[in-house]
Amino acid sequence: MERRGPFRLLAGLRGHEIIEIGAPEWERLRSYIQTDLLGVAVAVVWLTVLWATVLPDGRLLAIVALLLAMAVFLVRAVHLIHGYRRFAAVVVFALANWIVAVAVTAMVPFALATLVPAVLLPVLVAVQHMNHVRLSAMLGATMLVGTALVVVGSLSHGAGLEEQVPGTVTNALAIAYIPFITALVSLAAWQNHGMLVARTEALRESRARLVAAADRERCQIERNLHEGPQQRLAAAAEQTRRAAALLESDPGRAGPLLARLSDDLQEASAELRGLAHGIYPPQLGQYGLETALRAAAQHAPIPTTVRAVGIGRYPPEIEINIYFCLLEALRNAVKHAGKDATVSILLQDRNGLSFDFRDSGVGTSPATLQTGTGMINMNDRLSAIGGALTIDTRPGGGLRLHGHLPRSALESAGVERSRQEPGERVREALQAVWYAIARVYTTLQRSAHPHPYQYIATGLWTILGVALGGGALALAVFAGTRIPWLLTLAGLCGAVALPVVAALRVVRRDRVRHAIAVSAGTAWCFALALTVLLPSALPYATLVTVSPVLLSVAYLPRGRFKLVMGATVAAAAVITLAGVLAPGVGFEQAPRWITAPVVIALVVLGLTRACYLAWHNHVMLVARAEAVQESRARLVAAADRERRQIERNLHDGAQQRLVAAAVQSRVAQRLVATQPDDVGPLLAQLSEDLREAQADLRDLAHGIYPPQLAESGLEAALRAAVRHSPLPAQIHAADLGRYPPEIEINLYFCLLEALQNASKHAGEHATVTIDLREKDGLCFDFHDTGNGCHPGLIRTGQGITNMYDRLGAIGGTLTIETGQGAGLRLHGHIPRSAYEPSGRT
Amino acid sequence: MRVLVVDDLPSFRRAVAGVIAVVDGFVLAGEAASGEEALDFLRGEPVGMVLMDVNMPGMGGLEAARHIRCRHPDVKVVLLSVNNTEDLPRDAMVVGAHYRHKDRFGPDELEALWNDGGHSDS
Repeated sequence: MERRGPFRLLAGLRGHEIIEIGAPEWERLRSYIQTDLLGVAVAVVWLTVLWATVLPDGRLLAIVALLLAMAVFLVRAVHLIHGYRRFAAVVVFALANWIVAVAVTAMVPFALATLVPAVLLPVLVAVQHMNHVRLSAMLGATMLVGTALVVVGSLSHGAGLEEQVPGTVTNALAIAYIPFITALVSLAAWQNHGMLVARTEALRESRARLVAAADRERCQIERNLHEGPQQRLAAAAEQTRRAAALLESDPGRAGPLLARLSDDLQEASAELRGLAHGIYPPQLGQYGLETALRAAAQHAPIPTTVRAVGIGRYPPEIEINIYFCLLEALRNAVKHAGKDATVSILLQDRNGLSFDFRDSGVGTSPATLQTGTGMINMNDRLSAIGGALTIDTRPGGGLRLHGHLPRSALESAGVERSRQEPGERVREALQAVWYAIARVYTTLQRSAHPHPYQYIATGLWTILGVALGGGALALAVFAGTRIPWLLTLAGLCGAVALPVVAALRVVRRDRVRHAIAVSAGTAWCFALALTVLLPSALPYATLVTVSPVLLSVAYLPRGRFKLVMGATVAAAAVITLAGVLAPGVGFEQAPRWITAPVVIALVVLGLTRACYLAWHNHVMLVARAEAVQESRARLVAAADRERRQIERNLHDGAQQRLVAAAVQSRVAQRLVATQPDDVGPLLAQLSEDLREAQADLRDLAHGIYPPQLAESGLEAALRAAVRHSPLPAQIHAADLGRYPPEIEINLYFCLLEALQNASKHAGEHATVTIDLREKDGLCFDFHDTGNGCHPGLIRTGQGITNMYDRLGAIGGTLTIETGQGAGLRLHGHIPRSAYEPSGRT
Repeated sequence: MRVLVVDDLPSFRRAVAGVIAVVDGFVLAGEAASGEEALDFLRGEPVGMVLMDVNMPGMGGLEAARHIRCRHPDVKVVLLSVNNTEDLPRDAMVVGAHYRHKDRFGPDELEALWNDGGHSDS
């Protein structure tokens, strides 16, 4: 039964498990928002108690109302996640934080220190959920909101609550909330760190799985062709010969034989068509995704409806992957959803291409789903074309799959769509803001190089600048006023400057980890010293405190990262205590026109640095995974091209010959009764057609998966391939055994590709030598004596890229050596570890 | 009746020509390898029936059938497909053509088209 009202709201908040395999998890985003909600709830209770016991002031209730409004925003964000609108959820989450932060600061400026890191939090959470463009807009917004917040906090006189609220209450608020927000910021950094480490690994695994699946499929197609249509064709050819013989000896029996022949040919043709359809449904290429899916739905054994909104045509790799994804889901539903289940599929092109697959079946536990290969396979397919798959299920509650291919993925595949996204202008403006800030920042630190030295050095230089500037100011004021503690202050500033200079030297020559440790220690000591001296600089100090943890994301291993996280939260607690309890040096008593600009400048500086680190982490996150991701996309595209080609070849070759033969057999059947003399030549033509169809199929099957490879191994299969090569080729193989099929097939196709390359480009007088041996793994050396090629040119070629991808997918490497007129040398190596665990047979 | 055979594959055109040759009352008017060629042919020659493959490179059978029905409403168009009719796109049923399965095509089918006017689509 559908729950209503508050119950439904609560159930929605607690939520059920949303699974996203091998991609940033929605669960995490939701848990942030929920934690944020918890923080808001605690604040609401606190303020209400304050209002009820100590301070019955209406303005407190106004803040409570604001916080409750924020809670509504956050609840909305959770619901957006359930509707698979992750980007919208992050935006709502950010807006809620930002609006409330600015409003609360305007009323109670002392909350500024607590709220500055809260403004930063959404963008850190967004790092793993957004693309470059959106993240840069979000960073621009963060900078603007942060600046507005600190301006409001420094200039606003507040609503006069400070005087009425006891000091202990405001202090307790700061002491509890600043470490809490710091912990959340560290947690966001920790998860970004996890993503950075895990994504490349996950991508590698996914690539290997996809290649293995494509190879299994090749093997299966070859077997199906061999066992099905090839056998039937052989039988039909035999029948034709017998019919031709009977025509001479016993024309009366030839008629029924021909009738049977035409039935057999019809069946063979249907079988071949079914096979080709399974490889690549022809409707997909001809009429697109919608028609192909409708056809699949018609043939499904459970009632399936397909609805399409705004669906057009897409590049083949997108159509084929979405099609097979949904086909897999449909097969899954047929197998597991139960006999009374129905399926509905909704395809939609709005801000990207998405599908919603729902079955009304028995559902399952999320744990079972995660272990099944079906879902992993679907996710691999979808993420290879730049999309993501989300699964939502409960026992008894059916299954819901949501696939989304963002518009950026469609655009990079060449799909033109008119832009309808609301707020496009706003996004562009925010993006421009961020790019301007980033440009200024990179100019200041004189480099955009990703090595952390520059970040650390910039931070240390900033500290040095602030310390020396503060010291100089103190000295100048001392010169005028002769107040003795100002001299002490100047001395303290000098004392801070010395270790900073020492740290700069360490950073310049030492390793990244030490540099980060030095930088973290200095940053925290600096923040502490600054807060002790100037309690009103606490908002800046909190930002300084979290920057080491943001810096560590891209460089520290897991264990050290935890250490930095713990230290960050501890430092935040100590610095907050210092800021709240230390009397300071009387800076607060200075006129506001002096204090406000200093605080504003410091906070904007701190915010810029933190935002730049978040940006940098995102760049690293994308860059590290990029190469593997591209290689995976290429492999999937190559496998899909191959599927289409096989289907095309079947359709244009054997299948057409079979159809023609079936029609001819009917004509022959008719002629036996009326013009028996004309049947002989017709049967000769028929048997010629069948022979050609058989040859077509045999060649095709051989190209898909050479039978020698499975039967006798790599060496025999290569020797067979070399026999058909137009260039003279020699194969030397020493101590070669049998290897797991995925190794053999990939190596085979790799060398076949090299052989084809050589026959295309090496020139007609070239010869080829292939050396295969087992030495610390499996190695090959391919050498042709041809024209060679410029090394730069060869890397751009599809053939070499394909070989590189194939070998990479099985854990091997490829080295190329070539020059003009020097022939081409390829050296491939597959380490033993790539095939030993699966057992050498 | 003069019949135009349209298919991009010569082997099937040859087979259909064989069918036309053995059924009384039908004469092969000509052969075309694409929708465009068929339309050109129809401009110059009188034809009573067009036997056409659905799936051809360039202008496909559906598109060509639409043009033929528009320009030559008295020509009977029979689309031959290896797919069942439900696997064709949704607008395939409104072009005003008859559908026959390629696998089952033969002299009997052609005679049936003659006899019942081709109303029963397979």
